Amino acid sequence: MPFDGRLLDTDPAPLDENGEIIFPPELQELAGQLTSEANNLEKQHPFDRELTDRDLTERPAVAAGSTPKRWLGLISGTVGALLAVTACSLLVAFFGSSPELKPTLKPSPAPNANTSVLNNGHLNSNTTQASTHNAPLHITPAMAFPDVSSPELEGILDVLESSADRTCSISL
Amino acid sequence: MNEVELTTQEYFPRIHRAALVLSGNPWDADDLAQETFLIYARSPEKFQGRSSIYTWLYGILLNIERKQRRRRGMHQQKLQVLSENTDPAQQMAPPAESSIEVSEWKTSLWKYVARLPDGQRQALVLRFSEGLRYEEIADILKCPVGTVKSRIFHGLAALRNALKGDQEIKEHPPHLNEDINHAI
Repeated sequence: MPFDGRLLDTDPAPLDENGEIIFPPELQELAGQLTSEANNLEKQHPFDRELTDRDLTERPAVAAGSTPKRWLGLISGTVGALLAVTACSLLVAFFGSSPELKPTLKPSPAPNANTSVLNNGHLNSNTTQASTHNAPLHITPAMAFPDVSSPELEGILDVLESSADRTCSISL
Repeated sequence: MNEVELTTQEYFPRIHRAALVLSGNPWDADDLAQETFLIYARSPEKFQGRSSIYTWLYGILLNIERKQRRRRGMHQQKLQVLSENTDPAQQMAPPAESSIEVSEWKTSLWKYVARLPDGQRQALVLRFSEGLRYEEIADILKCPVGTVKSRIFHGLAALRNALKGDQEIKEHPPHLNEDINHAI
């Protein structure tokens, strides 16, 4: 960051009664040299008049007609944000009013779970729970066998397979 | 010819001259002057007539140039960091941007003015290149007239000191390649 001279040049310049700066001869000479060197620079490198004239024909179009780029960006950004907000609120309104997606306080059982409990080898069919959904579901019967060893489970599996025409499996 | 074109025709040479003195090369001067008038052409209504149109244009030019210098300064700082990590042989080469300025500028006092702080530099350009009155400079730089005079006086003094320092270095260059084996 360049140094800001405004912080330092608080010392006033020496002035005469007319308010003109009193330059020592050295500084007066430097001032004259600056002016002559600026004149010399201008003579050596004059500006290109043709370039200026060509640009002049383009400038009024910029001034009067087209909108600057930053405004275009701002407008398109605002429109995009409005569209996004509208789309979000429509989605919320649609799905928010749907009863299927409303959360229930009591969790429902898995849709394909139809549990029966076999206590001491007796199948208790009264414990079967009906699904809360009205749609027809493919129900896979399942039975729990607590306190049964693995060889006993295999025996039960053989009995079930022989008594019913279904393939049975054990899930641990 | 509309007002924008008339203003451009009338004041472009002055703005270009100031840009040339500030930047030291005609290409940057072209860009700076054109950008100044482009800003004016895009919104001429921003000029509310409180000051002369050319002092207002000088203000735009100085703002653009200061931003450009700041960007360039940051760029050079980055280059310097990079060069510190390169081998010493490459560090001896002059920076690429040092050849941009034209020889007339490099051998002039304006090269030294370019090293002064912004306030002094701008005041010197507006006074001794553009020949503006102190009141006009104060209007452009948005500071009191006394501050302008102070900046001009101290700017010239700093310029004189810089010249003296440079002359001393030329007369008594530091012995960078001095053999110091005897001291070891």
